[in-house]
Amino acid sequence: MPATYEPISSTILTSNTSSITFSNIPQTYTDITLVVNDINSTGSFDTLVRFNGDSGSNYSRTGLRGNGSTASSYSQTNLSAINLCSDGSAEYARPAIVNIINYSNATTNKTVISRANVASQGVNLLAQLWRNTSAINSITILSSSTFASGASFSLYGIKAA
Amino acid sequence: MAVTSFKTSSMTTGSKRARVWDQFSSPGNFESIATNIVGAGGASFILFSNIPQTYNYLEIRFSAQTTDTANSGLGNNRMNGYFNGDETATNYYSHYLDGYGTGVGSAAEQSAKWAGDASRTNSSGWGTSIITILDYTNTNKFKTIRSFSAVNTNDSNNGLSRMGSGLWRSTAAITSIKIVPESGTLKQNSSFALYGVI
Repeated sequence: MPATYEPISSTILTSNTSSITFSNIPQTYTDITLVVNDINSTGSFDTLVRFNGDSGSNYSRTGLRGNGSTASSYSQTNLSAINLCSDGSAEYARPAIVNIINYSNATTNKTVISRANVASQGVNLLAQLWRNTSAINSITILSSSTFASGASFSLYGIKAA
Repeated sequence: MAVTSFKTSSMTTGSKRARVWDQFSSPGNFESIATNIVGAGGASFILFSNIPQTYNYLEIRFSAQTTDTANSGLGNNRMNGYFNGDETATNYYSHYLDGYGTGVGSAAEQSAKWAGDASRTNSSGWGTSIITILDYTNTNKFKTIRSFSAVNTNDSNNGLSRMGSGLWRSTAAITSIKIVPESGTLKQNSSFALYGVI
């Protein structure tokens, strides 16, 4: 049986980088999953995600966060990118899993489910929206600072029957 | 002709050999079982039946919107999930923890509303959920479910990040799953995919 859950592309940084892009994403899958394990040498920073190079105010997010003592929620509209996580630590990597369901359909806006955590600071569950019906063919991950050497970024495709 | 040598390199490299294996994929670990995509005219429910009993757990991934006009354009519409034709609400339990932008919430109820969240009609964003059903073939334990749901409508008051859990108080192996919106019907292009994981 053909593989259902396949790696598409992966990179591990060997030097500090401000952004990476997965381009020419095959349109043959049903969902795609982006796995990010990033780290910054200076501590807190934002990890941002854009689709198809869109830097317009076409993104929004609603998050649920726990910091060890308090549960809270936040919501932002008309953003220029999806913000995965603003927690940060110079000591710990920050894993995030970004699920993009039906990324290749050209009918609906794209809803994204993400989880992003920093061991010393908190856990986040996010509902995000890209208000564009285009199929996603590229994903750019940006840092508000820089991603340090050793940060990893992997893209997987999931194909339904 | 007898096989005298078998090496990984012979499967993956070499100009004379087609690449047979990428040294990574393990076909059979995560498999697509079935997909339901709602057509024109909509659907009142989604049904996965005759589910193979050969996996360890199941995963459902969906993107959906309903015709529910209450608070039209905003917010979520919860989904009921029923196993093996059992639509008795008291045989289920569900818990959830929500972030909805302006606050957090949590609740528990004796209901089958463990099956994620669609969005309401004309919402800019479609509801998306990833649901895991653990040990679905085990006949010695009740069935437990974990879910993550996301609804976002570019509105500060009506988005939703939800983590949920569910319980079906039956030791029967799960052979069918029916998903029904709490209100309204499923709109065209709503898609539901069922996967099996070993």
